[in-house]
Amino acid sequence: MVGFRADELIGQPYGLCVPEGVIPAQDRFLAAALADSSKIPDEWRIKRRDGSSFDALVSFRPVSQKNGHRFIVVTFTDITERKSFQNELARLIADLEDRVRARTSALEESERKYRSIVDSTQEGFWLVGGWGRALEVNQALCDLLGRSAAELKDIPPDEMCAEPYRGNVRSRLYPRPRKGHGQFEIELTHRDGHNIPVLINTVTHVNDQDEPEFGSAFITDMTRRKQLECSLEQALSERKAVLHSSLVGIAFIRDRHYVWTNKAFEQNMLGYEPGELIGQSSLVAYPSPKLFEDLGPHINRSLIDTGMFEIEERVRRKDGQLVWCLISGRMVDRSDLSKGSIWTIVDISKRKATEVELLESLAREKEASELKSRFVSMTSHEFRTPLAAIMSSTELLSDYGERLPVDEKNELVEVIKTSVRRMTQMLEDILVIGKADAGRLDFQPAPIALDDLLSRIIKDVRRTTQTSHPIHLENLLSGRTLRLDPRLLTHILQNLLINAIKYSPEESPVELHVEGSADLIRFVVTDRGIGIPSEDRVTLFTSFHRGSNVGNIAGTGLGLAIVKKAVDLHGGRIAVDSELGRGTRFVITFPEGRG
Amino acid sequence: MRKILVVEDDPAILANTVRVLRLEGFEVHSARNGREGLEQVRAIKPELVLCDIRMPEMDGDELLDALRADPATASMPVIFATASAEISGRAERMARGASDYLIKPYDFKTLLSTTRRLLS
Repeated sequence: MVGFRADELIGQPYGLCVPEGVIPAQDRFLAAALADSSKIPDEWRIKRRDGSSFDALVSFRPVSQKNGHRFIVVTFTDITERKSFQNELARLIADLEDRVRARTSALEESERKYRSIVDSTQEGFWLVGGWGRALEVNQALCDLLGRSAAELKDIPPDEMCAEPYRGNVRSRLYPRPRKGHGQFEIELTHRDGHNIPVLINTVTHVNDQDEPEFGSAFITDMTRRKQLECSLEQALSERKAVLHSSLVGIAFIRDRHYVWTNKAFEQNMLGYEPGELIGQSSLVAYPSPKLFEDLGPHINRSLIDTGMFEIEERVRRKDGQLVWCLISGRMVDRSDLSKGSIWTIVDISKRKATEVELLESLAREKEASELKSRFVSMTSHEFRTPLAAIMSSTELLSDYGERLPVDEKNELVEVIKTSVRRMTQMLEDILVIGKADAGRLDFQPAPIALDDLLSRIIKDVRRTTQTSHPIHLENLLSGRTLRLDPRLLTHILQNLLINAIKYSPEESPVELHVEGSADLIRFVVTDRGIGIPSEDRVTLFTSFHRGSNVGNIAGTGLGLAIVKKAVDLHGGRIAVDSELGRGTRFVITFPEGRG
Repeated sequence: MRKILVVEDDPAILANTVRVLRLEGFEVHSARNGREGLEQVRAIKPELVLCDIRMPEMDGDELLDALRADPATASMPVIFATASAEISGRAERMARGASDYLIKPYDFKTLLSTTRRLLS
C-alpha cells in the first residue's frame, strides 16, 4: 500500500506514512486511541514512499498483554474508489438541485407571462372547466360585462349570454369531447342588461388520455365593428340606390365582360331585363364586331397611359337600334387593368340629332349663300349679254343709221326686241321662283285651247333663243280644251324647250309630244343634248343649281326649279330620263285637267 | 385694210360688232367659238382678235393660251369682251396675256379707240 518492505517499516515512526497534523503526537495518539478511538478520525490520507497519497479507512483495536503492555492494532483499507463515487454522487445531487431550481423559475416565468398576456389583452378571456365552471377570467372580460372577476367565476358563462345563444355557448364554449377550435358570433349580456355583440374564439384542451379538460375562449367586442358594418351596409345600399336612380348609365366591366350595371344602362338605355347583361361580353353593346376588335387595343392603351378613356359612339340596344352615347371609362386601380373599369354612359342622341340638324342647316345656309352669290354673278352675266346686244343695236341705229339699208335697220330693231324679251323672261323667272319660295305662286286653272297655247309657246321659244334647232310638235290632243293653269303650263313648257335647245348641239331636233288618256295628260320634251349627270339628279329641281357638265352654256339655274313648282301646283308628276351625251327626256303627267 | 377677227357666240352681238368694225373700215372676220377662232387665226392671220370669254367648245381663255403658246401669234393683240363683271376677272386676264378687257355692254367709242390704239 505504501511502497515499503515490511522490514523497512519496522521500527520506523508511523509519521513516515501518515501526514503530520492528521493525528495527534504519538503519545497522545496512543492515549487517545486507547481511551476513545472515536475521537480519532477514521479516514486518513496516507503517504506513499513515492510521495503520492491515497485515502484510507483506519480502524483501531487495542490489545493488552499479560505483562501489562498495551498495543494498538491499526488496520488500513484503501478507499480511493469509494471516495470518488461519493464525490460524483455529491456533484450529481448538486446538479439536480440546480435543474430543479431552473425549472421552477421557468414555470414561474411562464405563469407570469400567461398572466401578463391574459390580463393585458384587449380581448376578454374565459377559461372554463368541466360542467361549465369558470376557472379564470381576465380584466377585459370584467370590463366588457360590467362584473367583477369573482362574480364571473360564480356565474356559468352561458348565463352571461343573451337567451338565444345559451345553447350555443354550452355546446361550444364548454370543454367538448374532442380537442379543437371554434369561432362564432353571439351576444353577451352586460350587467345593466344591454346585449353586446361578440366574436368568440374557443379552444378545447384535452389531457394525455384525450379527455376534455377545459375550454378557453377569447372574446372580442364587436360593437364597433357591427356599427361599422351597419353603416357600411347603409352606405352601400345608399350608393346602390344612387347608382340605380342615376339617369347616367353606369357599368362595371372586367375583362370586357359586364360585372355590374345600373338600371339606367341595362334597362332604360339598352332595353335588357334586370341582370340580363351581367356576365355577357361588352361586344353586345357595340355597333359592330369590327369596332369591338378595333377599339379594344385603343381602350386598353388609353386606360393604361392616362387611366381613362372617352369616346362618342353609338351603342347597340337589345332590339338592334343604335343610340349615340358619350362613353367614359376609368380604371378601378390604375396599376392593374385586371381589376376592371367603371364606365359611365350618357345618351347624347338628342344632342347628336341637334348637331346633325345644325350642321345640315349650316350646310344648307352655306349652300344657299353660295347659290345666291352664284345667282348674282350668273344673272349679272345673263343680263349683260342682251344689254350688250341692245346697246350695240341702238348705237348702230343712231350713229350709222343713214349708212344702213332698211332691212338691216329692221333686223337691229328685232335684236333689241328679242333681247328685251330675253331679259323679261329672266326677270319673270326670278319673280316666279321668288313667289313660289314665298308660297305665293297661285294655281289658277282655266279652260285652255291647247293648240293655240302650244304654238304660241314654241314661237316665243324660237324668238327668245333665235334657235336653229327644229322643234317637232306632236300633239295627240289637238283640238282639245284642257283645264290647266295657262301661265304655269307656259312656264313649264318654255323652260323645258329652252333647256332642250340650250343643252343640245345646233340643228339637233327637239321634240314636244302631247298625249292623254281618260284621266291624265302627258307632255314629253325630248332632246339629243349633253344629258344630265346622275350625281346632279338630286339637286335637279333646286333653285340656282346647274348641272356639273353645263360648261360655258349660259343659264340662271332657275328653269327646272320653276318647272317643278308649276307641276306640283297642278298635282302632277315629273319624270326624267337622261343619258350623258345622248339626250334627255322630261315627262310631265297631269291628272285629268279636262276643260 | 387692217384685219380683225371677232370671236363671239351670241349671234346678235357678233353681227353688230362685225357691222360697226366694217363701217369703220376694217376687214372683219368672225368665229362663233374659240375652236373656230383658232382656225381662223391660222387661216387669215388677223392683226387683232376681239374675243368673248364664255363660249361653247373652246372658251376665250383657252384661245388666248393657244395664241400665246404659238410664237407666230404670241404678241398678237387680243381684246377680251365679256359679260362677266367680276373684279378679279380683268387682272387675271391681263396677267394671262390679254391686251385689254372690255365689260359688256360697252359703247363703240371705247371699242374703236381700244382697237386703234392696239393696232397703231
